Amino acid sequence: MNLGRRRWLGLAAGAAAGTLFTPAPWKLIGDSALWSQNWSRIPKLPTGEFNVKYGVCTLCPAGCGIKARCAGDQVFGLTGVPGHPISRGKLCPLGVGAHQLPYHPHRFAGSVARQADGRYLPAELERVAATLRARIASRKSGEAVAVLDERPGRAISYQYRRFTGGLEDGLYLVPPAGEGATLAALSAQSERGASFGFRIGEARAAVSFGAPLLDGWGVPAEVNEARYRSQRPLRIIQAETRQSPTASLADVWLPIRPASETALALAIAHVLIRDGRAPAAVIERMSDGAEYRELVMRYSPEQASRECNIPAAAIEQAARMLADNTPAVAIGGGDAGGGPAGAGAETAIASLNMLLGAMGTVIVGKHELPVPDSWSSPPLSPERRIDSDVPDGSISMLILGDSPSGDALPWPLIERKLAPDHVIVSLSPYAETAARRAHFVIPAPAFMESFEESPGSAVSANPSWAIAQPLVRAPSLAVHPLTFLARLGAAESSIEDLLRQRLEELHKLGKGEIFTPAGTRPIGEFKDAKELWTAMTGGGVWTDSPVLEAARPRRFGVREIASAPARTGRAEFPIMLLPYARRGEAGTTALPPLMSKVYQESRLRLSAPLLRVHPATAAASGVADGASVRVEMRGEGYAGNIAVDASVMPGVIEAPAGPMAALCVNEDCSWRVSPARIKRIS
Amino acid sequence: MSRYGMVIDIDRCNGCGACMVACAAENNVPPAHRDATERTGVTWMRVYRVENGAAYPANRARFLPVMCQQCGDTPCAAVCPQQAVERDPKTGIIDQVPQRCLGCRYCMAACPYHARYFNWWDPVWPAGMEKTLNPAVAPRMRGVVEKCNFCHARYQAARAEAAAAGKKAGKIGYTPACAEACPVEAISFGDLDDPDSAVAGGAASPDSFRLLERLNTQSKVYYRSREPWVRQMAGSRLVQIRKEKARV
Repeated sequence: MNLGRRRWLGLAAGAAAGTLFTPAPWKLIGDSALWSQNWSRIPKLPTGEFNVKYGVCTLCPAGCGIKARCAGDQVFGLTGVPGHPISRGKLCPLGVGAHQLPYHPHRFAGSVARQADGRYLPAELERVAATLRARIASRKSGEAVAVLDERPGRAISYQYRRFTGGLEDGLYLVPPAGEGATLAALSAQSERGASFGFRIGEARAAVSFGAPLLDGWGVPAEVNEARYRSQRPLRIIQAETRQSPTASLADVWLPIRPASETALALAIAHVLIRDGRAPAAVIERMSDGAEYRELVMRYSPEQASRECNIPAAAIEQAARMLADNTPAVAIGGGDAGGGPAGAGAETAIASLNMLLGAMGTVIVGKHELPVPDSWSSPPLSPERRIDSDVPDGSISMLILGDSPSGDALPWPLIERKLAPDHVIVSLSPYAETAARRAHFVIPAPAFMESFEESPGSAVSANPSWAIAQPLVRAPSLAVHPLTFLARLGAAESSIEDLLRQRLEELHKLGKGEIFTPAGTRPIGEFKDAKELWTAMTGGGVWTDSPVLEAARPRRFGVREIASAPARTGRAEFPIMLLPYARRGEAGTTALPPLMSKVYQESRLRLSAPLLRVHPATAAASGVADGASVRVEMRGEGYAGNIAVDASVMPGVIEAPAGPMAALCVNEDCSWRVSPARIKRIS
Repeated sequence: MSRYGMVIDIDRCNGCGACMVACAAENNVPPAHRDATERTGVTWMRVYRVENGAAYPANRARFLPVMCQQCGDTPCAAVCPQQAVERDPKTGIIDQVPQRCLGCRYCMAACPYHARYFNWWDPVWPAGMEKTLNPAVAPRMRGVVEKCNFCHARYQAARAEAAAAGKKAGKIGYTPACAEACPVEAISFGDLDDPDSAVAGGAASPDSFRLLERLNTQSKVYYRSREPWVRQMAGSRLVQIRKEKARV
């Protein structure tokens, strides 16, 4: 064949054209683009021998066991610990991504002071401490110095209490009762000092007034075990305005009108008493039994049906289901965003338990964990709740503690307790929520960076205690709260010493057993506290059986129930705002960046400014889907975008109280339901 | 030879998202770029809130975790011009080879489950956070498609461990990150061809179903629900649900 110039050019042109129809040139272009764009962006993976360390999650009170997968000393993944008595090998999404928290972009690099324009400037610890000491010394009589500790019962909590106990007008504050609100009401109805916990596994049925039973409530593994056991699984009635995940998965969902929990609880009691399904002896025994019976008889299912906006037959059916499945339990407290229903409603819910056979079976006494005598000797401030035990405008210096509860702590609630010329100090490692309001921030070590402890869930009757060992080295400018307290003049000690002291007390007590990943042993088998320390810092957790015999409530609390304020719409605020959140996401901590998967990248959870309303509510307010609006409440409000959704109750706004959300607090210090209105932003 | 598959109990899933976070942490999927949306973000596993369509108070909802359905008859592999979609004959797992991927996104168009994701941005973690990446999984670059591979790195690690222990090659037991993380144990994983496995039992149960079963993709992810509307929705309305969610 003669390959002339014309033929050769034709062949070349044909080959070039044909190549365009193969992947080769496109791959070359694509790879060139990738190499040229990514060469400086190739992530550096950790190196080192793979190993495993064990610890405990301290992001919320549940105290789940964590198994940290490490490359050398670097943690690169967290999973649950199989067989762990608290978490049964599982973690929540926060826990799964929590190994990112020490590197969070919102983390404070060191102590800072907030300027008038809102900027933070670095401040030396010594200078901040000197300023605060001077403020403490020069405050006026009657002005309190307070520490707000969201996670009471820890070793550091006792140090906070001793610090405030040593001051004139020192206050040790804890947040509102949260998911333990029903138990707090029962305590108020009992002999002084009685404390209770739930043994949810003993219940055959539960009526929940907004508590997220199937979505992270209490110790989630306990609830899941009861719900999904093969024999007599826990049956759940969810009374809640919003169709929460628990409402979706419950056996019965009662979509009640906002703030009608009291009416429903009394109507259920009405049916139980009317049908002779409630033990008469219990009613007789209570000091206000006759008044309670009289009050309950006024709340027939028909009467409650009008208040709750559900059929009377549904109330009758729910009451019968509970009576047929005793012991049953009534649980209030709400979710992490909405919080408790108010003191009156929580008392009505708590009283229902006395008719359902829950007392002494599902609700039993709660252990007090032992502490060294030196911790509980004077000076020691008593524990006070910030919502109910502190006069408004009385705190001149507020120190916000180091560890979050995972529940919302509405800023207006704190703000109303502050004196006009106040100083706020935050010990949070992150520039989130309340820390943004602080004048000074002394950042504590982040999650996994120091010894911490988990004194167990506030609502579970099953006692537990665990120590979290540091798995990551803390940055040099992080200041442990004990170091900060020492600068303010309190006694100096190390957290490790304190935990060792507490462990010695536990060893002396000699009760309970220790779970470690290697197995479970009675505490008596540990020859000394040193051996116990090794086990506890290797992922161990102490557990014990609950106190079955406990003080019983002496009254139903008719006075509190009757004084519950009505929360109805008014002419100027005709809509009800319902904030909600999942545990850990409305509190004062930061969220791991990977939570973008559930907020931003999937919208599995709505972000804080997205407000869901029924089409009728949107039409009445003159707004359309996607409209930018401002939700106005009494002197409060925040901006958001409307999402019109026919699955929302007419007349309400469902507002995710996610990170940084503002919450409106009512006169009775509740914020589950707030009268509001929608104003369109033009 | 195994045929790994998954069974997800919709009546247990509470939509917490632990599976999504665990998946991202295990497989080095970066946090969202600031411009990422529900359509452009990368989530190998995505949980949808699905509803029965009724107005309040008759509305009912469930949560539907959707990842690569590991089809037996793979529409994505059939259209890939680069042979970047591979089926492991030992496990039946469909994997994506990012080094081969051209970024044409034909596979995304072909996937009826919308379970494939394109990297619109370079993978970037906040400063210092690269130290928390899983050393066993290579991050993918901008311009390629990625998807769930049943935590293939965990399978490889389990296989290496079995070999080191002197066990014969055969059935390798391992658990993907999502199944390990699920707090309500809604996700079970195992060999569908092993009649004694929990997944084989779950897949054969009368309340099990597969997404868009009429397309006959022979997917290896089964779902369970006693709610008829969930089963009906899974058979026909999946695409519509995704569009509705994208609108939100």
